[in-house]
Amino acid sequence: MKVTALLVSHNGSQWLPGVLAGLSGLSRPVDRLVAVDTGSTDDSVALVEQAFGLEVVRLPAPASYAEAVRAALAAAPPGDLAGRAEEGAEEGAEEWVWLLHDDCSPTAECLQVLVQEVERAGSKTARKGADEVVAVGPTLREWPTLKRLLEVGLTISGTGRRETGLEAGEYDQGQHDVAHQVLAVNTAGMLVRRDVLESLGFDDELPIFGNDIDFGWRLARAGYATLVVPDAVMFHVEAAHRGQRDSARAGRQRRDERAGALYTLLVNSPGWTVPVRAVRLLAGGLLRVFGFVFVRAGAEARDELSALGRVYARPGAVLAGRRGRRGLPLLPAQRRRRLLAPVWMPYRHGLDFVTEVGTAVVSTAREAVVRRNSGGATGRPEPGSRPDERGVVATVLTSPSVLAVLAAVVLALVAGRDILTGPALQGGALLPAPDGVGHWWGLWHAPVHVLGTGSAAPAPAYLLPMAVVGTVLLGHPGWVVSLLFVLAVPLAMFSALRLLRRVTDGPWVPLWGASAYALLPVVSGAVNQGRLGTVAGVVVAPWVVTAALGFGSADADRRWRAAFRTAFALAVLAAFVPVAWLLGLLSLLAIPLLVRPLPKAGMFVVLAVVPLALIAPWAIATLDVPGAWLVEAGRAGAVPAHAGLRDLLLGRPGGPGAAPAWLGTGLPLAGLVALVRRDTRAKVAEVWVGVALVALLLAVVSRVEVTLPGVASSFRAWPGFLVLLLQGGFVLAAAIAADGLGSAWRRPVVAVVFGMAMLAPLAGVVWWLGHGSPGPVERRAAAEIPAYMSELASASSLGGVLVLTGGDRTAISYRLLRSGSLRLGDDGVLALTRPDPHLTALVERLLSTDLPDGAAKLASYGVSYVYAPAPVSPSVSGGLDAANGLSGASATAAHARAWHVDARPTLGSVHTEPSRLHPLLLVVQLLTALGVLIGALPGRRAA
Amino acid sequence: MSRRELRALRPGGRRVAQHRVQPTGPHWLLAVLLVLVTGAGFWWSGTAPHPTGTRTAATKPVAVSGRTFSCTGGLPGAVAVHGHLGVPATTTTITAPVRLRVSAPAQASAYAVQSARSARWLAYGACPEPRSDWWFVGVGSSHTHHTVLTVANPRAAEAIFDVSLSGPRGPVNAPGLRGLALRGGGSRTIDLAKLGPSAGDLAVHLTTSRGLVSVAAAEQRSAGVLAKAVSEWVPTEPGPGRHLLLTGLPMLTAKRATATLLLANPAKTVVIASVSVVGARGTFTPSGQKPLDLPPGAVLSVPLSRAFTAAPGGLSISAQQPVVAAVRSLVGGIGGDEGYAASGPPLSGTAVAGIPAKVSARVVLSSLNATASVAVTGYDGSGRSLGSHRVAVPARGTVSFPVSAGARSVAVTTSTGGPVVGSVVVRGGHGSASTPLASVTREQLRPVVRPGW
Repeated sequence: MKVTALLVSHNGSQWLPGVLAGLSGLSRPVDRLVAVDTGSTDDSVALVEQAFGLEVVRLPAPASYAEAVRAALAAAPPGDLAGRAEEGAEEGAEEWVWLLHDDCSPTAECLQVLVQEVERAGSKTARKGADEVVAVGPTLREWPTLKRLLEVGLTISGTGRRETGLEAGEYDQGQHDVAHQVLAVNTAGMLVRRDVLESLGFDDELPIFGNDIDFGWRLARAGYATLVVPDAVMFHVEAAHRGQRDSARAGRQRRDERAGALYTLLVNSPGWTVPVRAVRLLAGGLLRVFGFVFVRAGAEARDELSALGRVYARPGAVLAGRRGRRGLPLLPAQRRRRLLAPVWMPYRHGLDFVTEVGTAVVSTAREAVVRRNSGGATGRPEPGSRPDERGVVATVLTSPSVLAVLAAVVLALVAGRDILTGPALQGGALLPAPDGVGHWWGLWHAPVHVLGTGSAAPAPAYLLPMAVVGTVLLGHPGWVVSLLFVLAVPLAMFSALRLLRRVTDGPWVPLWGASAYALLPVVSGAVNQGRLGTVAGVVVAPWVVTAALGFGSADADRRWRAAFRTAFALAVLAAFVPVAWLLGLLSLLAIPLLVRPLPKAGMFVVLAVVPLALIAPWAIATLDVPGAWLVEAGRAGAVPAHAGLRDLLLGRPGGPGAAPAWLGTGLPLAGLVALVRRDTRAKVAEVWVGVALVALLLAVVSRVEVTLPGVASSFRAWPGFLVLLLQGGFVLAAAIAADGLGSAWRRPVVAVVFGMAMLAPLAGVVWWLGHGSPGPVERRAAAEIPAYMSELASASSLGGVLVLTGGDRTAISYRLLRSGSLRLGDDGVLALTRPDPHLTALVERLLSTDLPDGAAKLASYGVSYVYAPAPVSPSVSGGLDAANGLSGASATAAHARAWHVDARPTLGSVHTEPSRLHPLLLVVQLLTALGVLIGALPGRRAA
Repeated sequence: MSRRELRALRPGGRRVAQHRVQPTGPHWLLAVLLVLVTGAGFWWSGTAPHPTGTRTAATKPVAVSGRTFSCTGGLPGAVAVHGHLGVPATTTTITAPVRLRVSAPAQASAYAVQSARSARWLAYGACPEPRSDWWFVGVGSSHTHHTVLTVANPRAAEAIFDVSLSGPRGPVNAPGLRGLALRGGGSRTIDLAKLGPSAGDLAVHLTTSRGLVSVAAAEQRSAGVLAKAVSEWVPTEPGPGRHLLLTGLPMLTAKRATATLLLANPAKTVVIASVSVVGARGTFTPSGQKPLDLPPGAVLSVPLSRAFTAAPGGLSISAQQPVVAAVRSLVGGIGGDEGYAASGPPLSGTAVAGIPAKVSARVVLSSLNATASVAVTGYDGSGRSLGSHRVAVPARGTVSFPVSAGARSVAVTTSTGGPVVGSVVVRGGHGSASTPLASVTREQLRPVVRPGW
């Protein structure tokens, strides 16, 4: 056989000397060399011409590989070689073409081994009638002479991935030693019979990438075999693949590779699988785009999308490709199984990926724990200390932080003994949680709610995080509420510890600070009054500060991530306590004072806008209700509370269920004295800047009379969150100043302050354990209306119950209940819903005049029953007894009264016009959430 | 700067390069400033005024939009006189209950009375307006003294009501008087004698559990089974009260005249009541008149001595617990006319009453506390004023003032002093009758209704 080497070059001067040297040193020299250049701008042509003294065929710049091969074959007709071979022994010997790239260098024996294998295969074919071998390829290893394997034959998976069957970075240790049939071999080093190459050719649709697999696939379909010969070794730079080649196509190799793979699959697969495959590849491609976006690999995502576009925008090219292959039979099933990658291959890659990520996360976490335990905030182990070699479990369990949180959990269970089990937790500002988390999801996404007289008001922003957690907790909304209220202290302690450990060094100061802070929701009465917003806010607030610490990073990427994390945490906080967003805006003003280097303007925009967008459905719809921004999650104005100056200073925002105020004397005192220590004063002053901002905001909030459309009277917002945040600021300031105080606490003044500061958490714990849960939060069945009315109301929106209260010395209040008692979240909607004046007038006239169609009008609001809980005012009972169309019903409770509305209920008068903006705002919210997730997580490059 | 301070200033945590914050100005000045600002915030917050909001009233006055009278008749030859001031009075013969609807503004001076007469007796009473609670004292269910209740439902919706009876020995069991339904616009009669004859004077208490009804009690009395009967409407009582003032007592100067005080005690305990006379010059208790013990749930009939009825006067009753009271008079011995005096509400503003044809009418007024000045104006059949007279009512005394002859309606307007309770007493032929005056309700207090939270 004769071998014609076909060298294609394109700006490969940096590798060509090696290639040419390899060609010269072959143990079995080539019989002829044809070189073709596709518009190199360097001295590639000159190098080849100098080395071998031949004339290189030159093609203009964007020539494809197929064109180059065609041109080269045309320039070296078979007759030339035959003429030259006349002197040789073999008459009419077959001509084989050895395809070479300008970045691949053969070992000396490479061609010899390949030729031997061809000859051996030829005799084997003749003997056994196996498939005729028309192409062989060498093992590809890393340039220049490395042991790492690149390819030992090729195939393609169902998702278009180029499969080599090798592990990443696998070394050539002779483990692949038997020549075997593969779907394809790389064109770099492929030795192929000339007549076959000429007749099948390369596909012009695959200019550079993927043409080898397509060619091998077509060879196989034509009934030929392709062998890989492991003993023949070629070193390959993969310059085009790695983007190392200076070329017009550089930078788009990922897109071209991906488009080539998709094209190859679509044109070579059996026709009946194409529709399904096309859909699958498109869906898979979009999923990959999503995945790339998720890890902030923007270039990869763009290339993937662009590849999809190139293939799917030109179905004609695929159809033409399939037409061109029409003459080729399909691969028989047996050979398809042997040559193509198994169907499970993509899933195995997926599993591998997940495993790797999991391993990385676990080891990172372990390192972090070990580092914190040994080196404190500095992250450096003490000199001379041995690295911690204990297991993860042991390391975690012996961490003082973990032990402290665990102890807090135990204490919380003891203190919350009264509210551990039973019916729904409710009372004070807390409404009972709904029976299923679907109620929350429904409120969140519905553009109009059948609550009261119908409402297009937005659901409170905190429902989304609550619904997410509720879904995670197997769809039990009650568990979310119980978790927050029973375990408020350990949860707050955990977040506070996380923050304090990053700003202090010693082991004890963070423990003191976290304990003092974590007890605040309990001793202030927030837990006992059912202040959902304050409790959640106290838990989340340290996360916002912790995330904001990332602004101190020198790495721009980390600072951006900090911006997104802070914005996200702030959004969660603002969802429960909207005033936190205002505080966030105020804090933006302080950032230029505190953070160097100054964050980019974009980060400010992220901090200001992203939290708003994350709570967009609520935030945008409440822009005309400024009062809604001052009240927190929970029933607005439900528990009357008033706090004087002393109470506020000592962290008591007012209302029942609070510990004696004097217990908290130590915290503001310690916060004040913290300013005395000179070496930490700068840092403490930074905290005090925040404290001053919160205090100013508190002054505003305390003085504004809040009016909400759905709340009958104006009231002052409960300032619990801001008051506790101030105490948190004192704790933080004191912790920073106390860190590393050494023996200074022995000085009398410091000792007194120290003692009082210690008293706050210690006395707080004693009070907490002693009092348990004095209420008004408690577990009790929601029995606002008789059970049969609740059942009816839950079953149908036409089973509304009009509840009338008051009337003796106060005005008569009515509420229209839709699905039994109001549930957590309903209050937020109703507070923003303007009551229907027609219903108010109707109830008034129903109670006092002869209204012939009063019952029918009431029924048009979907009201089936009217209920008056004891004590019933005579004006209510007398009025309704005399009303037309109402008949007495069972009231079940003593001294309560109930009436049945005789007319058939409809929803004719209920407001059912949905908010048009709501779907758009939901999209904004979800897209922002996705964006924030991407922005907040470490990117692919950063990882 | 120490290493520790450097560390404390570094916000980024462990993996973060150290950044030094260089605060401007002396630290201590900044610290003092911050503390002052924080203190100001606390002070502003802690001194916020408390509480917030405004207290809302429980009720609000609303003008009455209209009135509905039900002239239910029930006596032979009954006619209704109705109208309002300034227009001619209308006389309608009552064959079936008549429903009269008067809208604003005419309702402010509207009146409707029904009367019936024979040669021997005169019956007269106001046409009732719908309400939920009715009391009648003095009704009977025997052959010689039996009462028929006519219950009308002038409203559109069904009404459901209960009737309970009590007699001299306490509650009287009468089957079939619970949960009686009456369709809108319908009426029904309840003949107490058919429910079960019982001796003595009875009290009827009718309450609606749904809707409102108008009730009139027409009774017939005869001295014996064979004697001719006289008829009268038993007046409606405003309801149990601890202090009642009955006016319109007939002056029993004739020899064959008797008067009986009827007291019903709805309570379950014995109630002690005292009776005194509101005479022309003042209030006094006749000598020998002892406080009365009212048995629980029973009706007590007490013959009144002439000390009570010799002069025009009112009867004041004070009890420990709310009671219902009426005075029945019989004039002319066997076959003579029967009349009732019932307690009336204190007057405020104007009270209007119709006067049947061919009778003389007087207005009897008693003042509860202070001397009062009252204007009495008669109107003839065409609605013209017959002149207004200012009447002075002595403190805790009673005055009887004749209405101009030929008047078919009379308006009594209180101006100063009082409060005043009054009746219209009519006399014609051999009979006389009276009905309490009640002020026109121009506006009512409606409960304020507001959306709850």
